[in-house]
Amino acid sequence: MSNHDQLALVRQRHINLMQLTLDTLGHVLSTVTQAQATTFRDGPDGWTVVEVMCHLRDYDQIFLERAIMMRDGDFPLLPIYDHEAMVIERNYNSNDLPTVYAALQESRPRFIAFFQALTPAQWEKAGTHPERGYFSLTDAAMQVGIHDVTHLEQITRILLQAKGQ
Amino acid sequence: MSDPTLIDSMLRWHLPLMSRTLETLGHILARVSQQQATTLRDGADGWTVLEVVCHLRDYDRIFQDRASSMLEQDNPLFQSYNPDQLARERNYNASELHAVYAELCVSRTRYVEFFQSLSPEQWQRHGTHPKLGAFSLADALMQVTGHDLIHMEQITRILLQAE
Repeated sequence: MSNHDQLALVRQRHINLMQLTLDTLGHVLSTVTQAQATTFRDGPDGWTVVEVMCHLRDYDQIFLERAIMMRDGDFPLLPIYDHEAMVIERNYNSNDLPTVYAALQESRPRFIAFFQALTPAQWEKAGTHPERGYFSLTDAAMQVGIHDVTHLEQITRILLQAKGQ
Repeated sequence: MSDPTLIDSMLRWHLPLMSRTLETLGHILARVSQQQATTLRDGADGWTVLEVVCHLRDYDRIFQDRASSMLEQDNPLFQSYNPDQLARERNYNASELHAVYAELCVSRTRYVEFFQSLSPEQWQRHGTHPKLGAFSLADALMQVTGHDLIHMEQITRILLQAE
């Protein structure tokens, strides 16, 4: 298999993961009450489940915006955001859990469609990530599902507190 | 042959993921009883949660054996397995859920160490998968987490019946 074929396969596998992790989140959240989602925390000062979900929803947009910048720009410096400040400024914990998940479900197909539409030349584009340095569109495709899994681990860990309820 | 940039990306993203998917699975299974694990199925003839976790445990070892064979042999042809047959022959559904998960964790730790120990030259080794054809060590790394995620979706979907 050529490097080109291997890269195409890697990208496609990660695009598939973007839907799979979203579906898994949906299954996990289906039994979670609004009270559980807004009171159980990841440690004393940690996020609640609904705060994590709002973060996933908002970063789906941010990741897409960065990917568009890379596709359309000339090696752009990608913008940085303070995710902790966003939790407070946007009052994440006052959101309705199913509504937030529905918003993520609406956002994700746009992101998947973005990657599916990239030409081979566009896939070669990249930018500079404020924390990670060199950041390609392949990295961007990998980041989405993997970011989901990071927070899926966090959500399922937070929900251990519901055991026995 | 694998692109060094791709290897860097795989190491950056997938190596930590190998442990994270397993931890997530552990959190999900912590709330599952042995009865739920052995009776709720993925469709009428589908696997139970326990059968899925046994499959993950056994394929972690199979994947590891294949990866090791890529270092030891030139372009080895991987042995093919029938996962449904393994589930029947090994009587997966008679196992104990948390013991199986513990075995998977032991196996996974070894597999993470295997990938961490590879030199740049070793990353270029490859084999032939019976269904997928040419198969690199980068493919092997990606396969572990992709396989975990496919079955985590399946397990969480099966568990919707427990509501």
